[in-house]
Amino acid sequence: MTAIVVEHLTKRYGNLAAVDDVSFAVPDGQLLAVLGPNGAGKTTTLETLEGFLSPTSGTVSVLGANPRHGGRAWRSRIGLVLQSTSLEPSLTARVVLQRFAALYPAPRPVDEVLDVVGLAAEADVRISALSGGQRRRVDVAAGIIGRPDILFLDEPTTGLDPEARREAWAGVWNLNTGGTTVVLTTHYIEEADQLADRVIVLSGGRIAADTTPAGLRARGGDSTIRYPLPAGLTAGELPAELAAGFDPIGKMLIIRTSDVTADLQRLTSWASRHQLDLTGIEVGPPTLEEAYLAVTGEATPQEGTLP
Amino acid sequence: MTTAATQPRLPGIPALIAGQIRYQLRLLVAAPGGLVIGIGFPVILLVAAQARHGSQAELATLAGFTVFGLTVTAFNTHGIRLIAAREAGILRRWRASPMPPSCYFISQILTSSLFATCTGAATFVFGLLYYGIHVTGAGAALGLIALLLGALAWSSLATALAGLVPRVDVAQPVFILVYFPIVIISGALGGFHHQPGWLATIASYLPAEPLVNALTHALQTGTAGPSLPARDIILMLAWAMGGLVLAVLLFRWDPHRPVQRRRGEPGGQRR
Repeated sequence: MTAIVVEHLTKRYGNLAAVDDVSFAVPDGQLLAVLGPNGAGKTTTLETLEGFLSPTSGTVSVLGANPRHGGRAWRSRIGLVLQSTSLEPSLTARVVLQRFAALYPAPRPVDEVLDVVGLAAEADVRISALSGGQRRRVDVAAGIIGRPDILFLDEPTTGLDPEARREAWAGVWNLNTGGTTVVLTTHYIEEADQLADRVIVLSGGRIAADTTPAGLRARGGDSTIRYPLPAGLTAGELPAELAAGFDPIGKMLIIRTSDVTADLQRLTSWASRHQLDLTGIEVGPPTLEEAYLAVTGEATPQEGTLP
Repeated sequence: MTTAATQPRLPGIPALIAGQIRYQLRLLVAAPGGLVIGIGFPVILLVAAQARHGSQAELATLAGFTVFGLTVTAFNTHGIRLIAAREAGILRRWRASPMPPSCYFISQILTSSLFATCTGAATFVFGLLYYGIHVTGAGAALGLIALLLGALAWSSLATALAGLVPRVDVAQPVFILVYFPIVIISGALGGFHHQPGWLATIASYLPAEPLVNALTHALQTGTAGPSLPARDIILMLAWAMGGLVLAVLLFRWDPHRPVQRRRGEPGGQRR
């Protein structure tokens, strides 16, 4: 079964196409990550799938229905986590979740959901008194309490600390392995890498890539040599053929190359001549972030290729 | 994937509305600022009026201050809370739930009306005790009906106006500029007996003066006994219905959002 079908979706605001002729389909049970820079059309696409926006042209079908005309039964099968916390702050998580649970035909028990999102101890604390990450988890709890067939997550872990983010990932992954189709937008490449079966990269309102995380990584092109430079070493001290790869932000030498052996030999020779310790050197395929930046055409850290 | 045919039944509409009213009441009690202003403000005015006049307040004065408190709760507090919830994305979250929008809409107006009626009644009971005025049981029942109708009218109008106000920071001045003049020219706060005829005519059709009149008539204990003037009831019902129609037409679930610019493009776009 196909949970979502999007055909030639275009959404215009005046002369500007926020989403421009986008088509894709999501099978049941897939975990799809939609990546892209700000203004790429991620949230517009998601809000069209959620039924908040009408397409300017094209068609969208979610669980076999047009989201703009999805009735109560349809809405009861959809879970949403909006981009920002959107629950009454003066009530406790338990009270809010009890109310949401009462809207669904077969909700999960409130205590079970509080456990899943790791908020059992804070269940009776006002939402306004919770940390940003805890509030986000209440949002996630409200999104999953109705046992949704599809869960839409709009940047669900933005603002969470690394530990909370990993907990949220575990929760989403558990839900997905239980059969729920998940569509999430994210700024975090690592999030897509950890969670997604499939990645769609939007850029300028169009699909720049529709692949798996491994497939996206492969589109990053050349392999990369990364060498964290010893403290105090400046770009001026590097030989001319290496200086172009100096990344002043990360104090790294980043060399994109199709001939790892030859370039590594040049680097080690130069390091040996200058009695530099090569501890920390890494050689490998491009990271997902590098591949993403290559696909979207975003500015990358200064890169160099050895002559 | 679960099919619709195998799903248990969705909760019924009456249960949804009743549950939502309970939830909204909890919300109002959890953030009691509106309650404090809705009761505290008119009570202070009542006490101040007694101190100034040094005599027992007239029933009309008591009714006027009660109506003022009711409008603060049903119109000002209700409208501003609605805008704040919309701009925080809370209304959008409810809109995306399986609760029909009409249920949320009706629950909001009914909750606000019930709450305002209770605050109005509390103010009035305080006034009766403070001034030692006696009213009959029938008068009290008619007074409650008048308060409820007035609260429905003001809550509906606030819901409609909320759709026109774009941001929370401008909500307070807009709402005060709308309801305060209406309350003043109705004579609810006293001291407005020599307005021009045309203004008096307009005031008699606006939603404050009919409520003051209805409340005063409901609680009178003279030979005429308690009553609810038909004209006042019709006017309040008309404002309630008109406000409801306007609210349906003007209501917005989505917050105003900043426009994002896409790199390298002169215009902007929504995210």
